[in-house]
Amino acid sequence: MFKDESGRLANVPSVDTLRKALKKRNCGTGDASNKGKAVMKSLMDQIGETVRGRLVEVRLSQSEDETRKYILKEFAKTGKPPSEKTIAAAMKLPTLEAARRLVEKLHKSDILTKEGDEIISAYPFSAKATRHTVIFKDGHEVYALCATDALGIHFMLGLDIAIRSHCPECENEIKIEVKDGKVASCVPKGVVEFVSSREDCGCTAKTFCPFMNFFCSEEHLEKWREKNHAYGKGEKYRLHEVLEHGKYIFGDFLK
Amino acid sequence: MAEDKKGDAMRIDCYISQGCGSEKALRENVARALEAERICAEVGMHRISDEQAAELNLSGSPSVFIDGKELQPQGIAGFS
Repeated sequence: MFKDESGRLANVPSVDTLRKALKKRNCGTGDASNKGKAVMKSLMDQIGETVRGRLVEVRLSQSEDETRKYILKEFAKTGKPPSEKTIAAAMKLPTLEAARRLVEKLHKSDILTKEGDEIISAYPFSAKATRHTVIFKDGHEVYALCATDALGIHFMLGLDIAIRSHCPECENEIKIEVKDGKVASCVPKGVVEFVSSREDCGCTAKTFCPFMNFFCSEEHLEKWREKNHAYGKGEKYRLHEVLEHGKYIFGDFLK
Repeated sequence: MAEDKKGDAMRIDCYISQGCGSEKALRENVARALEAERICAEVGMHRISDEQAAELNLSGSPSVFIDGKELQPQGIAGFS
């Protein structure tokens, strides 16, 4: 007999139990070069599946999901997450405690992260400064957790955006404009994204996002990899691929 | 019994007694878990006798091993 997640006995291991064991086994070697050995899809596909999968797994009620969307919309509108008090008032929750419980539920499901009582990120947004600033038409700005998230914001909100990022190798500015689902301009022209596979277990915002960056060019990426062996393993994507990933992950995040 | 594998692909070995009716459900759950985790693994379903189970020191049916590590080792004697 096997115990499932809630402690019930069953004749066969549950899908969740097997998934946990597979994840543990795939992450447990301690050697990044072995971690991807059994993975069929690209690193970015895995990350996308993980981020989207969490929304399915957490099984939010309609009102809980509306609250999640409210948090994201506020983040987009102001660049900052709403406080639990604001959430409680805006969503007409019966008590502040109800807002706290829901934020905690979203935190535990890695849909957002928090420090103390404050939300500090909710995919794709970050309250803390990152390398990736998304600028809206009216001039207001918001930080994106990573390069892919920055592009994903365009699809999530259906708004034209400009992204200001910085190449980790030379620290020069990278500017990308996205309009109508396409890259309208990119300076410099040879921008690529690199996703490091150094750490792939745990909260995506803390493990993957800091290592998903735009580089000015493949040349700059390679120079950076030579100097940063610990983070040098991973996958490189062209801008059109990053755009597709952003669309796939965030395109229906608010629907 | 499958040894702790050091090769390139993950391996899942399921040992099932002759009379155990869990194979279909087990196959389904393993397939769904692999799909959800985007993992490609070699999966072996082994129908074995009580004697073989005793030789392998298995105590439950099914018994599931991922890369040679047993999933939720059973502390109860008897393979059924």
